Amino acid sequence: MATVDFIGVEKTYPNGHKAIHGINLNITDGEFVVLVGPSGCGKSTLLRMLAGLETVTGGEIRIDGKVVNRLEPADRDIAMVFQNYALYPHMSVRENMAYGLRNRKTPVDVIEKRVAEAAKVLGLEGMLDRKPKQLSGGQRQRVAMGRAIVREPKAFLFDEPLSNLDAKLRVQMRVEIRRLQRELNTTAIYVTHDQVEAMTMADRLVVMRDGVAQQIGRPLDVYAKPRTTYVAAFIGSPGMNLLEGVISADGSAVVLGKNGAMGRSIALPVARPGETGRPVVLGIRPEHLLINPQQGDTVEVRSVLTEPLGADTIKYTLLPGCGQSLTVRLPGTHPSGDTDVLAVGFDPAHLHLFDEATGLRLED
Amino acid sequence: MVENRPWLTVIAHVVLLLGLLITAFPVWLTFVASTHEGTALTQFPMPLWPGSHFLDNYGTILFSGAKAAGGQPVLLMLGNSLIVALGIAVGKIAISIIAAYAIVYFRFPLRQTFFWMIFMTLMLPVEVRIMPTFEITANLGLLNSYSGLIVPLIASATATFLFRQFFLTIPVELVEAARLDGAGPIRFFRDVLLPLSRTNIAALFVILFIYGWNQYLWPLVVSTDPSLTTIMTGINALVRVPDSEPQWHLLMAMSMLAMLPPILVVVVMQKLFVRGLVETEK
Repeated sequence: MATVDFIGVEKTYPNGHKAIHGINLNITDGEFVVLVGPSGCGKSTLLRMLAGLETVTGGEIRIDGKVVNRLEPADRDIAMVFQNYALYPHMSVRENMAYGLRNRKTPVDVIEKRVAEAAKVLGLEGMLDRKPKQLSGGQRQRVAMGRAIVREPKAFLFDEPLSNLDAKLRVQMRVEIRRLQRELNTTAIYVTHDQVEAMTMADRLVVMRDGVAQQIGRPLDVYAKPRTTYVAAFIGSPGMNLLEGVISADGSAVVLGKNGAMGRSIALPVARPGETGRPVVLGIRPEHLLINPQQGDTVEVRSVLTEPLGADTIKYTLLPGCGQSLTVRLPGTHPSGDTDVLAVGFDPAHLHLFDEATGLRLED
Repeated sequence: MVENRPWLTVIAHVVLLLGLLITAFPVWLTFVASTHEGTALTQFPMPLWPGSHFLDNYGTILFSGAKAAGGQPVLLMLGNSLIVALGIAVGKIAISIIAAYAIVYFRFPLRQTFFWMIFMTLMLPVEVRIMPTFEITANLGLLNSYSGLIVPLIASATATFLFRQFFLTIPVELVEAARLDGAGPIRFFRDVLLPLSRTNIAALFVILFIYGWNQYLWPLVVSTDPSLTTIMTGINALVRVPDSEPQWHLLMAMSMLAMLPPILVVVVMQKLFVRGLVETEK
């Protein structure tokens, strides 16, 4: 039940390596914020700085308006769920959950009540006297959650909590964590490298790269309007197709290929006169490519590999002449003629344009 | 090896039985010798089966001691040895687990230097540093006391090193989880580290108890008071009685008695730490 503010937060390690380059982020009460990015992008460091496990070397972190930069982890009133659960192996489930409260001198009857409640919510009632070793991965994950819940903290911090679970359980726990967080209405900050988790769970996403927040926004906004090519490629599965090209002579289209070498042009929804010859990156999501469209220009591509997913089919194709690949998502099932030649149309309503040099989105 | 060759099984068992006989025979002889009169052992051939003086011999040495060696009852020696061995084992474990805790979990200046200094003493056994150790012990006025027997042997690089290696295998997240749970250094040590080290402590206790029990040179050097004789020095004193024949029957009875406590410790503790191992393995 709290707001969390990052104000120009920086982290420089003693060896001079700068892991976080000035993050600004305001998290409102009850919000579920996901930090997403590849490994080494600084997302875990940022979370650990909030937890108090790493020092803050620049800027301020505030919880409920109070600066916590120099507070001990235990005094920040937050609870953290670790990737490997970090349960105390020699304590029973009950003791694991109660340990933090006992250290806080919480009355025994309150501890018992809270542990019982948490166990009920998490479906751990029959397992309170077991040791962590006797539990499955999913159950251990729940105990770790329970340890966080009983504390009734101001915020939950999750550090890739589902990475050690198998795919099916991950989907199930994903839903459960989200439901629980809504029920308790506690602010949550969640770190993951999995963009599907990020998209499905977040109220707001923070896409990170090399210690910089590349984009902060609601998942669908980020999906619809990625601010950089990096975000465009990272969010979405498979990611957005990014094709090199230049603005055509009249500014109404993009000529594909480096310096327009491929010769094919794709019409833009809004002309960009005066930018003739500007090198750009044209982005389009796999589901916005049309096969054999009734109207508009098409490009012939050669299918290399087909992945039938049941609900839809993903075809990996190559653009002839320039070796760039294009991923196409088709609804329904399609015969997997692996070397088909497809006529692909670009839906003009869903084209994205980025500057080639900076990777930044070019607004219409 | 899961192989089904009857011949191999037979050969393996024969070899094992032979090995067992070879190692067990001296112990058997010791026991046999401890149940005969002194004169029976100097004749040829030596008896191979127990005689009738079991109670006599053991009663004599336990409660009144062998006259020739100063007449200290063995019961007293056993008691002394027990105090010394327990003191050394418990002291070593206590000191080294705390030292390892400091070295692994606390950032302080010269941390690595301290570790390597401790580590280097591994290379210097008691015998090598016996002169300076004696000097210090004497200056502290610890000669002829239990403290003098125990304290100088307590510092242990081996145990510190073992605990350090074990602590390094404990995931960092566990430490962090404990910090978030509001456990300070002492609570973390007591509630998390100690219970997790239980099996290591048990294993070390066995080794260190036997180490302490078998100490010979140091007790010999540091104590001249007969009431502080340990069993190991006592046995040796009985071997080298001047102007008389060694009283082998009493000597062998003493040896048998000296063997019992370490065996007991191994048997009891083994159960404990095997159970511990099974628990963490689950």
